[in-house]
Amino acid sequence: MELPQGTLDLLILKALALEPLHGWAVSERLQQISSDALRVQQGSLYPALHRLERHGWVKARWAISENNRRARYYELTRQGRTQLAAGSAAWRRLAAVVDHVLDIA
Amino acid sequence: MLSDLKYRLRALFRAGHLNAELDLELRDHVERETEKYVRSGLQVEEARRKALIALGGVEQVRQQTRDSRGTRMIEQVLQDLRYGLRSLGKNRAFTAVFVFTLALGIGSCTAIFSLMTAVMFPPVPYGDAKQLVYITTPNRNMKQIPPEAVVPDNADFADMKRQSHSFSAMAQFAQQSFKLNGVNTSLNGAAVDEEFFKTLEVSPALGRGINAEDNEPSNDGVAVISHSLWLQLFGADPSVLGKSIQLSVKPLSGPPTWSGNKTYRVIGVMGAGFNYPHNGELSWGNNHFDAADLWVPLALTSKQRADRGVDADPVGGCYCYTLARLRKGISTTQAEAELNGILRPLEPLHTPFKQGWYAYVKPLRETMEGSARPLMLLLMGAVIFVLLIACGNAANLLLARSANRMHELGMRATLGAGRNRLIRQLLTESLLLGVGGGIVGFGMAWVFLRVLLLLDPGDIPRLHEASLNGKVLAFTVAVTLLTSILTGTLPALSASRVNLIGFLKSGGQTGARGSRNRVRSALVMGEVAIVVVLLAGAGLLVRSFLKLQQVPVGFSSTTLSMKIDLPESYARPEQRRAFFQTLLSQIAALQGTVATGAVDGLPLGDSKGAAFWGVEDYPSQEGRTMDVASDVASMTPGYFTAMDIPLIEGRFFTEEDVSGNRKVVIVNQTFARKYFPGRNAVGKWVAGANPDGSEQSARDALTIVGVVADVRDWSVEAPPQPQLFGPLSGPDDAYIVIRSVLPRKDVVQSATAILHRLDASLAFSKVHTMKELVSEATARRRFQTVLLSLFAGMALALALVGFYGLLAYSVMQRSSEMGIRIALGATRVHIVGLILRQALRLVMVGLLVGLAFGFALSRLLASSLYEVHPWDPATFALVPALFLTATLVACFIPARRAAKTDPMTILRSE
Repeated sequence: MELPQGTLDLLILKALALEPLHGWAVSERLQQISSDALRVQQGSLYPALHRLERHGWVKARWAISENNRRARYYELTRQGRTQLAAGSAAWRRLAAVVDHVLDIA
Repeated sequence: MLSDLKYRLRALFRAGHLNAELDLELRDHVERETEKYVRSGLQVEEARRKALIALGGVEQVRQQTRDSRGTRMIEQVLQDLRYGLRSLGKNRAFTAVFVFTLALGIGSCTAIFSLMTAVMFPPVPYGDAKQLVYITTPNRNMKQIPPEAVVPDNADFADMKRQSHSFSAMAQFAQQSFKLNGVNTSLNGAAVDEEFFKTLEVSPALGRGINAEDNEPSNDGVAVISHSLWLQLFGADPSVLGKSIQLSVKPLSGPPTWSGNKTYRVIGVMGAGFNYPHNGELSWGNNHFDAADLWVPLALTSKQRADRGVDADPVGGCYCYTLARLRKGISTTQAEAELNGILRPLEPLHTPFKQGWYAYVKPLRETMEGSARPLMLLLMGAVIFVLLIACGNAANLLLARSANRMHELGMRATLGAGRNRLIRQLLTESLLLGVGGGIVGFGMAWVFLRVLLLLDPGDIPRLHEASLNGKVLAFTVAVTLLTSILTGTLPALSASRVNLIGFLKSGGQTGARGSRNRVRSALVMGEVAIVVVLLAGAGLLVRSFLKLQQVPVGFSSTTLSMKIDLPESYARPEQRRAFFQTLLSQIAALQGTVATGAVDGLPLGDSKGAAFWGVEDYPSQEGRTMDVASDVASMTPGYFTAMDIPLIEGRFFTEEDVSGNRKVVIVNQTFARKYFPGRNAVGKWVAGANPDGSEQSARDALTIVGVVADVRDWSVEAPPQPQLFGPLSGPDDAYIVIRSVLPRKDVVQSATAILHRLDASLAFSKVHTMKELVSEATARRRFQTVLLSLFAGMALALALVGFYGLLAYSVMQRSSEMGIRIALGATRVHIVGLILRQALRLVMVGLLVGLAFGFALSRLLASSLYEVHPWDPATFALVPALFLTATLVACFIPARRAAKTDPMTILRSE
C-alpha cells in the first residue's frame, strides 16, 4: 500500500518514539511494524529525516552501532513528542471522520 | 522557529560538512541493506544492486535531501553571485564602462537630491510646520513691490484676527536689534505680541512666554532669552528668572538711532535650538540675522494699534510681520478668500491708494525655500534625464554582452537550466553591476556636491547644508535598485529566450537575433530624444544668460563701494554730517580719485525704499494725483559722478542742497518719461504724500533739478522703475562709493587710513566693486545655466558613447556583408554612405521626437528665460545642428572601419 501524503513524517516519529535509531533501522522498523503492508520508498526517508531535524522534532548524533560501526542516530526531541501526540490525534480524528462519511454513504 | 533558523544557517555555512555527513549516512544505509540481502543468501554483487534499487538512486536521494534543508534558493543566489563576480572580473573593460556610466547617472541624481533635501525640506521645529503662514496685504497697482513685502497695518491686523475663522492663532512681531549693557556688539531679536509663542506652538523651557499684560506699553520691561544667551550671560543659572539685563534698543518706528538703556526682567528661557525668526525664515526681513536671541513685548500704544497708514505722524506704524497658523484642512486659497472678504469693507478707512489691495497668504515653508523650488525641480528633472540616458546605455551594453554570450547561455539551457534560472542569473549580474554603479556613484556624488557648492550663488537658503546624510544614502540605494531593475530586465528577458533546437542545430554558433538590434536601436533613439530636450533647455538658458550679460546696468563696474556704520557716539546729525563731509573730501583729495560720494542704498543692494508721491500736472485716472509709487534713495553730490551715471538734463546736487536742506530732487529718465512725456521735467515739482490723498500744495513740494540716466536697481533683469533721489545729509550708515584710476587694493588701503585718522574705532565693511554686485545679482541665473549646461553636456557625451557603441557593433556584425559588397564592386564611398545612412536614420527619428518634446516642454522654462521666447528659433536650429555634427564625428571611426574591410579575409573566412 502506498503511503498517503504527509503520513511518512508521523510514522517516522512513531518509529523513533521507542528508542533512537539510525536511518536504515528506521526503514526496517517501519517495515516490521506495518508487517510489510506499507511500502516506504527508502530514498524518501532521508529527505524526511532531515526535514524533521530542521523542524527541531528530531536531533541527530553520530554513535557506534551494535556491530561497532559509526552510524547517524536520530532521537525524538521534546518538541517531537508533542508533535507525535498532536499528529496522532489529528490522524485519528481524520480517520474517524472519513470512516463516518464512508459508513453513511 | 529558532531551531529552524539555526539549522538553515548551519546548512548554509557548513554545507560541505553536511554533505559529507550525508554521504557517510547513505553509504552506511547501503552497506546494511546489502548485508541484509547477503544474509538471505544473495551474492554480494547482486545484493548491492538490489540495495541500491531499494534506495532509489544515491544521487537523487542526495539531491532531495539537500533540497529538504530549505537553503536551495540562497545557495543558488550565492552561486549566481560567485559566478557573476567571476565573469564580470574577466570582462574588466565591460564592467568598468558599465559601472562608470551608471555611476555618472546615479552620482548626479544623488548630488542634486542632497541639494533638494537641504533646500526644500528644511526641518521646521515649530509644531505642524505645514500650517504656518505669513499674511501680507499687497497691492495690485504697485507691481514693483513684492507681495511679501507689504505688511498689514496694525488696525487691519486686529480686524483680520478678530473676524477670521481660518486660523487657530495669529501673531504680530517685528525684528529688532539690541545692544547689551552698552557693549558695542549687537544682539538680534524680535518684539512680539502675546500670541507669538502660541502660534509657533513652542513654549519656554524655563519660566513663561510673553503674555497680554506684558504687551501693555507700561509693563513691557520683560524679556525671554534664548538658550545660548542664557549660557553666555548667566552660565545656565537655573535661578535666572527675575534677573535684569540692560539693553539699548532701536525703536520700531521713527529715526533708526539707538535709544538709551532700558532695564528688562528675564521671564523665560527658550529651549536649545529655538531662534525664530532668523535668516531665511522671513521673505522681506533682515536676512543677515543668524539667530534671534531675545524676545521682548511688542507693546503697541493704542494710537499704534489704531493705525491704518492714515495718520500723518510717521511714528504710528511699525514694520510688523503677521504670522498665523491655519486651522487643519483650511487651504491658503480658502484663507485668502476669507481675509479678502474682511478687508474689502475696510478699504474706505484707508488712503485712496490702498485701492487694489488684497490678502496674500504664503506658507512659511515656501518662504524658507527662498523661491528655489523651480530651480531645484529643474535640476532634478535634468539629472533624471541624465540617469535615463545612463540606464539606456547600460541596457544597451547588457544587450550587446548577452549577444556575445549566446553560446554560454545556450550551453546552460542545454544542461537543464530553466528560463527562470537563466533570468535570475542575468538579473543577479545586472544587480551586481548596479550596486557597483551605486557605490561609485555615491563617491561621485561627493565630488559633484563639492563642485556644486563651489558654484553656490549665495542666495539659495541652506545650500551649504547639503550633505550625503542617511536620507540621501537611502535615496541612492533606492535609485540603484531601480536602475538595476530598469537596465537588467529587458536584456535578461531577451537573452534568456534561448531557442534550444536552433542552438543545437547550429552546433552552438547561433548569432544575435534581429529583434535585439531593434531593441537597441529604439533605446538609442530614446536617448537621442532626451538629449535633444536637454540641449534645447540648456540652449534657451544660455541664450537668456548671454542676453542678460549684454544688459547695460547703467553704472561704472569698477567703482568701489564700502559700507560704514556710525556708532551711538555720533548722536547729533551735525556731527554725522561733518564726519561724512570730512571723510569724502579727504578721499576725493587722494591721488587717482575721479569722484567719490555716499548713498543710503546701492543699486542691486539689499535695502530698498518705496514711497508715494504726488507729481505736478499728473492727473491719475480718478482725478487723484497721489498714485505714484517710486523707489527712493538719497546721496551726496559726488555720487552720480562716482558711479558714472550720466546727467541727461538739469544739474546734480550741490553742497548747498545738502547743507541748506533745500527742497530739491533728481529723477531718473523713466520717471521723467512716464510723468512728463514730451516735456522738460526740470523745474516741475513732486511732493510727499498727504496721507489722506488730498491735493498737494506746491509750497511743501520738492523741485526737480535734474534728470539722470536709468540704472538697473531692483535686479539686473527687471526694467528700470521710476526713481526719485534726494540729497543725503548725516545718515547713521551709508555706502561710500569711489571711482579711482588706481587699483582696488591701493584705494581701499588709503581710504581705510583716512577713516582711521578720523576715528580709529571705525571700519569699512562690505567692500565690493560694483561689478561684483552685478555678478552677485546674476549668480542664481549663472548657477542654473552652468548646471543645466553641464548636465546637458554629460547627457550628450553619454548618448554619443551609446550611439557609437551600437554603430560599431553593427558594423562588426555586418563585416561579411561589407566584404561581399566590396568584392562585388562597391566603392569605399558607397560603404561610408551606407553606414552614414544607417546612422542618420537612427538619429533623425530621435531628433524629431526630441524636438517635438522640446517644443512642448520649453514652455515650462518660460519663467526662467530672459528675453528669449520658449520657441527661440536660434536655439531650435542650433541644437539639431550641434547634435548632427557630434553624430557625424561619432560615425567616423565605425564608417572608416567598414570602408577598410578587406574582402579577401572575409571571403576566406566564410
